[in-house]
Amino acid sequence: MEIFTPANVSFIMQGFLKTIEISILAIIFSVILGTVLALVKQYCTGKLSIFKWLVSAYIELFRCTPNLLWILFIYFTVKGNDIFISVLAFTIFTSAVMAEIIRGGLNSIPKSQFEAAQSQGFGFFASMRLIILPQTFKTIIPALFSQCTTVIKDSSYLAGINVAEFMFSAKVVMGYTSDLSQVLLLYGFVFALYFVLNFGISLIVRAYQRRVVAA
Amino acid sequence: MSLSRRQFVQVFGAAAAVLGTGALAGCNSDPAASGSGDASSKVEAIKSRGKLNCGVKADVLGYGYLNTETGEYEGLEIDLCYQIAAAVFGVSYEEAKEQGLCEFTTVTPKTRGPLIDNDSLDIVCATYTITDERLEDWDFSDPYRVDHVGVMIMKSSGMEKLADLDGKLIGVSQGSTTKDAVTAAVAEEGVELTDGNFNEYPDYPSINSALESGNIDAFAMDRSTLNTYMNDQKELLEPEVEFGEQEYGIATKKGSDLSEVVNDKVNELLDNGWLEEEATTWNLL
Amino acid sequence: MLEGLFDPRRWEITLSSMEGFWEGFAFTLQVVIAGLALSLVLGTVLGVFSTTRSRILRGISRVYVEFFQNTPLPVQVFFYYMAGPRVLQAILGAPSPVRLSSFAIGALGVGLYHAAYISEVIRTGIEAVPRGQMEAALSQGFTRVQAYIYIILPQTFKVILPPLCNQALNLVKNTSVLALIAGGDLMYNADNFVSTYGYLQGYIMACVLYFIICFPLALLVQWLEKRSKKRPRAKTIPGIAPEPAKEA
Repeated sequence: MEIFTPANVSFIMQGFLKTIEISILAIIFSVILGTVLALVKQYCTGKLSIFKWLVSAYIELFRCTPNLLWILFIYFTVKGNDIFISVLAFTIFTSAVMAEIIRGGLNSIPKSQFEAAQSQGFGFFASMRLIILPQTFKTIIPALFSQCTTVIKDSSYLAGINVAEFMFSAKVVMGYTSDLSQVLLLYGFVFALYFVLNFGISLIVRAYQRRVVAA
Repeated sequence: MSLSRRQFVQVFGAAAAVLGTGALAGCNSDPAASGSGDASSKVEAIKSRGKLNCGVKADVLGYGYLNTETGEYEGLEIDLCYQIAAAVFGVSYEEAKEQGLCEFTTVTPKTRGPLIDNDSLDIVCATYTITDERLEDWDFSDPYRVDHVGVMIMKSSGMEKLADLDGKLIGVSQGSTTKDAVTAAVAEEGVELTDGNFNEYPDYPSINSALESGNIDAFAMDRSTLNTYMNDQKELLEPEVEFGEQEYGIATKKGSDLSEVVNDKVNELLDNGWLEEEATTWNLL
Repeated sequence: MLEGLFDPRRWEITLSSMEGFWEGFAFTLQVVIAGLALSLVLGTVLGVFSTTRSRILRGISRVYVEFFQNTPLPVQVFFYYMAGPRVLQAILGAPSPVRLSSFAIGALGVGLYHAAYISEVIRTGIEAVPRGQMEAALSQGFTRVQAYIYIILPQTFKVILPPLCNQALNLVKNTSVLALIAGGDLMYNADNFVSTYGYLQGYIMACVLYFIICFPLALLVQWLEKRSKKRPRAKTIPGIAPEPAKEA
């Protein structure tokens, strides 16, 4: 039986779009939350160090447990549509990784930048927003984008909770055929699309890095 | 984008709450969960929301099936959900259908119970078998359909009777009662199956693919479900032997006022012959 | 839902059905060890390939790394699982599909996937060793292979140990992919428990067990990172601050 019918292909492509949609939203939220986490871990000292410890615990917890576990956990505890749940689950554990990436970036900014900003009368938040963070993000762009690739790839774990993303849609269509060559073809198609998407991202990062090195 | 601005705020709020209160407590703090006061009256909550949230199957022909061409759910259980919605909102069945008073979500055996627990779903009408254990955690209506377990195999496997399952690997769905039913039926043939004979999968397409690819020898599930995956290379093992009776009921949150409404409606539909008609409509006889 | 987490009856049932979890835990550990061994060996070979002068070897390594880094592990594992038996049947001419054990699929899945990442780690490590080292080794009569084994690779340890341990950590987490194909690992058993009873306690227990494996690794990464930053200073005063024994 032929499985690459227009209906099936459009069904799979809808899944592909859902994968992209979930990934983009998850990355945006993770960067925002990750920045907050990184700043707390980096700068909450003295009386505020309780927050620093909380954030460290948060980061370690999500770094040391599988994503699939949290996807399932969120799925069973939080109500909402599948996009909401997926984005929430991914934001929660990706932000822990983002926080570490951003902290790495913060560490690479020379202390003198901070002192210079303060000597010019900038407060903490102003110097962060206007001086430190823009530089930080510039240095971590490669790591940030490689994390995007990770999110896109890991979104296929969502097939485990019946979110109709790319992998799951392909799996459903695969149920319609017993023909080995069709199954192989379908896998080839799935691999190819993921590859094009992720490889495209890594090419952009490489081009960016080359430009930075050249500059 | 299918995320509204409100949901955007929710994602961020919920994620930030995790940060504030520690991971576990955070999962509880979905802002939408609080304030609606739906613990008191489920029926009132549904009325004010204007939609009945129903958990249904997407891959069981005739019961709950998502048609990939139209993107619509169809089947006996879908119609039954509209009947329940009609009873809750006090409108006729046709009106309920026309106004689309049901919001459908695909569930699997594994996700059915928890999604009622967390109030994502009001009712689950998804080939959900009534068991004593489940009755401890959820309310069930009286059964609206009875089905039996079947064992699907590849014709090329050469198996002929249930006793041939000895030492074979059988794929079942996570969180379903099939495993016990098959074990009991095969035990009557004098063959003992252990946990090692079963592989449990999160969804039906996976079990079917595992059977097709030769990773498992048999796919055991309610016959209604197997029907979806039947083709000329597969067959049921000893179809004349009926075992593992599965009584399907509509599940609701334990102790909610909705349970009574649902049960009354199901009994009404059983009495006036509507369910029988539906079974004929969807070729379930 | 969450009030169920504090229900003592549910905890009692969970704690009395822990055998499944321990079995899964042991299975996950086995897969981790086999997968790690495979990925280290293959990753080192590919990493060395990518630094050789042979265009073909570099090409092989590049293609491998790009493919495995840019496609999702769950898809790869599904592929081995769903297509593997019949492809093997066709290749070997066997009468029926050749089944792969879930242990083999797990070890192969995470092993091949992480080999790509480890290869990149090794490559960066080797590139950090000055070129003159290879030339010096060759001039001393080492063959290329010997030079890699005795001179180049040992010098890379300092640079590569932290990211390697990080990969090991990710590998442990990624074995959970087996749950999607009924693989019998920790995640699978926890998931089955939750599916059967509907009690989230199962996930909490899985969370604790994964944490037990991963947290020491995370601490190791931190410690190694700190150490690798400190070391040059220690080297400048030999004799006074003796080098610590190699732990890893």
